[in-house]
Amino acid sequence: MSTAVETPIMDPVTLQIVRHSLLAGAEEMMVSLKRAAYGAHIYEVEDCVTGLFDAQGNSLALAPGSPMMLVDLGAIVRDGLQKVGAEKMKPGDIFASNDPYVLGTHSSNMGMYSPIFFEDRLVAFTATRAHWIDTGGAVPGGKSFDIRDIWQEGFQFRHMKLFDRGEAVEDMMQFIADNVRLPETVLGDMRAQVAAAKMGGRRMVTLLEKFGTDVIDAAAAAMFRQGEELARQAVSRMPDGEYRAEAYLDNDGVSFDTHVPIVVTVRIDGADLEVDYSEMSAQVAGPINTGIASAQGIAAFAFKAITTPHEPPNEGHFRPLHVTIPPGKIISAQSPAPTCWWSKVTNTTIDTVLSALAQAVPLLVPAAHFGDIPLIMVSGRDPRHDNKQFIFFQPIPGGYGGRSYEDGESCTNCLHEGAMMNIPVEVEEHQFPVLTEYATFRTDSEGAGKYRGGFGYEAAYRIQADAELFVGVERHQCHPWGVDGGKEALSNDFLLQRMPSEEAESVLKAQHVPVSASTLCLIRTGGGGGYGNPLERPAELVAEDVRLGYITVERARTAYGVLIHPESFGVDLEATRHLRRRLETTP
Amino acid sequence: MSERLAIDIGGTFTDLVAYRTDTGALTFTKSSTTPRELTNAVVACVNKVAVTLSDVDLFVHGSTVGINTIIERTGPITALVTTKGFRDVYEMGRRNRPDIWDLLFRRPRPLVPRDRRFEVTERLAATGAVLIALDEDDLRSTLRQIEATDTASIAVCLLHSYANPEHERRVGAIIKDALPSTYVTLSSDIHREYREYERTSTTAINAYLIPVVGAYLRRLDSRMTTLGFEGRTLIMQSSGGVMTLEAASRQPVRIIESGPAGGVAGTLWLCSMLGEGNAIAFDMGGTTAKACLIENGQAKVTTDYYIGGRITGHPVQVPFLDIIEIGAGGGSIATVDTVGALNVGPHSAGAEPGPACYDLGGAHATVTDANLLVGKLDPERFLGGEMKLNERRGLEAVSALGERLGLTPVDTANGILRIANAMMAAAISKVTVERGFDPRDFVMVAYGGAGPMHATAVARELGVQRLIIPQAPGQFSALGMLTTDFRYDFAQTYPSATANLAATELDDRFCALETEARAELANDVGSGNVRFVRSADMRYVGQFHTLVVVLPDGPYDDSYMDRLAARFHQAHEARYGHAALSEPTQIINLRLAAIIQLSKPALPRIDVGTDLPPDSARLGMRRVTWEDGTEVASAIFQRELLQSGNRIAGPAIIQESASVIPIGRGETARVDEFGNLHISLQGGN
Repeated sequence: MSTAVETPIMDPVTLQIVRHSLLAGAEEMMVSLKRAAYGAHIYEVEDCVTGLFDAQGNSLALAPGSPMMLVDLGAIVRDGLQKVGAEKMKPGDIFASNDPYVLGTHSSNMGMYSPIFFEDRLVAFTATRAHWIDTGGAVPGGKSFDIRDIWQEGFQFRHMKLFDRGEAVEDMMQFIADNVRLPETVLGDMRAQVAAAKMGGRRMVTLLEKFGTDVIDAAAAAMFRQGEELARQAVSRMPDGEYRAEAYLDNDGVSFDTHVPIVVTVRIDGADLEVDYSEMSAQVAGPINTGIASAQGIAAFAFKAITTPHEPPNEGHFRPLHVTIPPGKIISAQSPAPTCWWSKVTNTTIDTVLSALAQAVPLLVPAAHFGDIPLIMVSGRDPRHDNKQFIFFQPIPGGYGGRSYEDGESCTNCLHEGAMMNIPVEVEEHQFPVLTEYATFRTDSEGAGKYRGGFGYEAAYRIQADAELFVGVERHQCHPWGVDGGKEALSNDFLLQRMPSEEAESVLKAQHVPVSASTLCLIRTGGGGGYGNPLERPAELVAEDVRLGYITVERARTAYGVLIHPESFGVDLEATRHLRRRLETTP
Repeated sequence: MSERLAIDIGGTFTDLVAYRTDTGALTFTKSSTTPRELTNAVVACVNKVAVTLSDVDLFVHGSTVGINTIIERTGPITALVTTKGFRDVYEMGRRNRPDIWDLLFRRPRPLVPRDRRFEVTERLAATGAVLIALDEDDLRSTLRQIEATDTASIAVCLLHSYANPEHERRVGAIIKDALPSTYVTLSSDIHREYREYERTSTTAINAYLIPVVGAYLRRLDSRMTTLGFEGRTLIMQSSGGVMTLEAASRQPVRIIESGPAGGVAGTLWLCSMLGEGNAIAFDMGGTTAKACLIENGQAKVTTDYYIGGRITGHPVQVPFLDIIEIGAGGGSIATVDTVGALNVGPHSAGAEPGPACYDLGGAHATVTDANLLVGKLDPERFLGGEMKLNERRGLEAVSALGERLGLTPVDTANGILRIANAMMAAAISKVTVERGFDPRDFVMVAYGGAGPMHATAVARELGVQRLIIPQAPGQFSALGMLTTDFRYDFAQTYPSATANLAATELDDRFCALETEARAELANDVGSGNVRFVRSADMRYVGQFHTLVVVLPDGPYDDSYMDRLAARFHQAHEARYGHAALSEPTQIINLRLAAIIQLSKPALPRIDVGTDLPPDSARLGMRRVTWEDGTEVASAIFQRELLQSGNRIAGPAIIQESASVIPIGRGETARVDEFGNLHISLQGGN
């Protein structure tokens, strides 16, 4: 707070009130959307985002949510201003757009925005984005590695008017109802987005009535200026230079023998920071592409995290960031490249941008995390509910990398997902025919280090119906990497065991996989990479991890060089000293 | 003749209010909180006042015992018994990162570590049907493992137990049989809703608290009995209602924020008396400051509360008043960190040893020492003269900090106060500005020992124009405890389509709930004039979250169901800005609140005077250094001797037995007929 820059024309109390009122408005939009929703992926998981924008589409306030859906939300409004035009927008209009090439993410994420008028002038916008559980494509839920173009993903809305001056456009409602597999859920979630738009509009108008447009405009300008200044101060403290990092995706789900290169260069020059994606893979045949707004979003997320992580964001915080991205890359894909499994590319790209940044600011960046949304989309007919169609999925957590001063966190949803939550087992089993047998920390999954990575997740469940799985698990070959002598962690895996007698088979990227109640589905996710040499980890901390059952006695010996009694959990100090000395010389 | 008594234990002081129901006379006192044995301060307070305990028929109590145990993690060894395969649910939480940009985030740390979380073979389906029968042998062998440790309390939370509590009850019975001296909390006795993480956390907190809070309440009960008390003891709940001592011993999770709830209850009562609808309740004691928003005469209650904050705190799913709390109070210690920045709190000197000026061995400079040094506190009249403050000790402590900062002692003291005030303002912003409310539209009611001392400065910071300091602000939370009602809440899950439900059937269901409620109240509270409030959780078919719709008393005629659906559409429209009139609606839960009103104290009126305070109330002049650094000779008044209608213009200090109220330049205070001070900050600096 104390570093905020003086803004001459704005009294600081009013500025703070406007700032927090805008944020409260965005957050109330989120609450409305979540609480009015029909799909568990919205009301439990929060696979949706909300924000308030100025008349040009600059973000005034964004409610915490999934960073990858959030940071580029303004692109929806800006694209609408260009393609529809402000002059054609009327009070009460709501437009929808899911064009992934311009708006990023994938076509299942439906952006909806609504102009806000005050004293007959268009002064601001609300915007939301929510995952529609179905948009009528080739497969239920729209995710399949055999999808080869955008048309198979489902219908495309490019600034379609869903509400005209406050009235639902009935032809559009009918079109949606006739073209999705779960019309009640999709239309219910759409109405929840409408509720959020109305809530945000109401909040904005109240604020305008109270202060007038001049004060709000001045406050917005001051907020942008302060946000920019804070971010510039942070960048200025980083050493100038060029920092390059690379990683890879296992494959694109089509050519299984080919890694997909993820290469990023970061340049810091004074108070400006450039993320250059020129060396990234070109767009690929498999559906793991996404549009240019996501390239911006990935860079913006990493940038925010290392410059002003605790400030509620607005447009200003991102002004010192410059993104270089040629068209036709995997994250600036062009039509008709398929995008439905876009989430396979985001996390690894974030991890890679952060790896480049870590060379400049090593203390601020942890080792790599498990790096994926290991997503299992399940669809079928629910025998408990008149054989009605169901589609479900949920975020799967994993380990985060060790930090320069402490261990990484365990079983947390990936960087891409942010504030998104799990579906509680009790809710899941109510809504869907699934039975979870266990859900636990994955033993020995962490990247060893002086500060070890967090632990991954392991769960087993059965689908209580004849169903199909659409599986998308990335970062199986590309393990979460360590930093500064820290080791890599175990990686993500998904397995099916058809019969108790049979061996479980690994299924990573596949579609139309039939399962029944006799099939055991096993998800195992990676831990976080280690930070620093594991032989320097205090032996008593290793013993504590053994005592709590996070790691085995065997792992304590091989990964950390610590010998622990399996019952008393006491450390054999002498033998440990010898072993560690030996491991230091012959790693 | 009968009396009512309320005692509120805070972090620094324990406060007592006695109310005589025949004369309306109120008696106040306070005593230093005795952290090693909280009941000592209760006895000390009782011994200070001329109240015959055998005349007291009602004793209402609030205590910090619960919150302290959780925050300081001083509870006993607690175990968790849960369904096989799910012991890590409690540690994984909802797996989210609420602070989405923070790469250096930390997840909440559970109260029950992994080696004390045990699994038992059993499994229910979501319907409550038994999929795997409870393996009692498995449980008994687990209990032998638990027995080998010093486990004092066990939380039992099994999957889907909200739908069918039988397995939990059987587990509870077996534990009682095998480990008779170990406390047991069953999740199904606390909270009957799904979401296993939040229910586990709520249950674990209750289990963690039972040994500590239960023993505390028994000691309290026995000491009060020894002193001659024969009446009924009620405990303040975090929701603002009261419950019996026996119920609080079983469910201490409901009384965690009992003291702050007393202050909010008092604010609601005061506001309704003064005709104020919108208020900020601001409570500052020795250890913490709290703020709660009152809008249209209602304080918000939440069942989505996190102890210790949303990002790393513990979820509790029982009703709490929506109060924001920060670690800054009169006893908060000021420190200078390694980069030379002056900080205040969160550590507090508490009551023992207390601020340096208490001269009880405390060496750290606190907010109270700073107030003394700038002249706002009178060393001779602290606690009505019961305690002399040692100016030299206070000065030494503040000077030591000042030397490290290169500041004079007075500038250091003012710096401490300005930082503390900014922290209070930030806390109030959380319940106003950050929710889109402008504090300038609210009256602030300030209480707690240190609240009045900082109220004008904090109000100025926020732009608040009007401030009310109630009579005896130091004991206001205790007084508030005498203004609450008995409130028992009942619920029944009753999923039914509104269109298919007969109005008579709905009325029958509520009547059955009322019968059940009457029986339980008779058992627990005794019969009285019970008022019932009916409501229903409703939603559109296919929706998940519900909205509460309040229903009138029965019986209902045939057309009522349509009206009920219409009320839901209206509520949806009001909450979300749209209603789907063609969509079918359904009822999920029926709720019944049974309220027995307790008669409220009537404040005695004070003598009527003129604009000018009487000479007897004038204590002369004292040099006071104000926040802007100017030292000004300021008039000093004794609050207890002020008369209705008196006006005081700043700079002035109004002293009373437990507190001090600075009135800045340009600000004016007016005394109302009950002795409340109304301060206008218009034109103040």
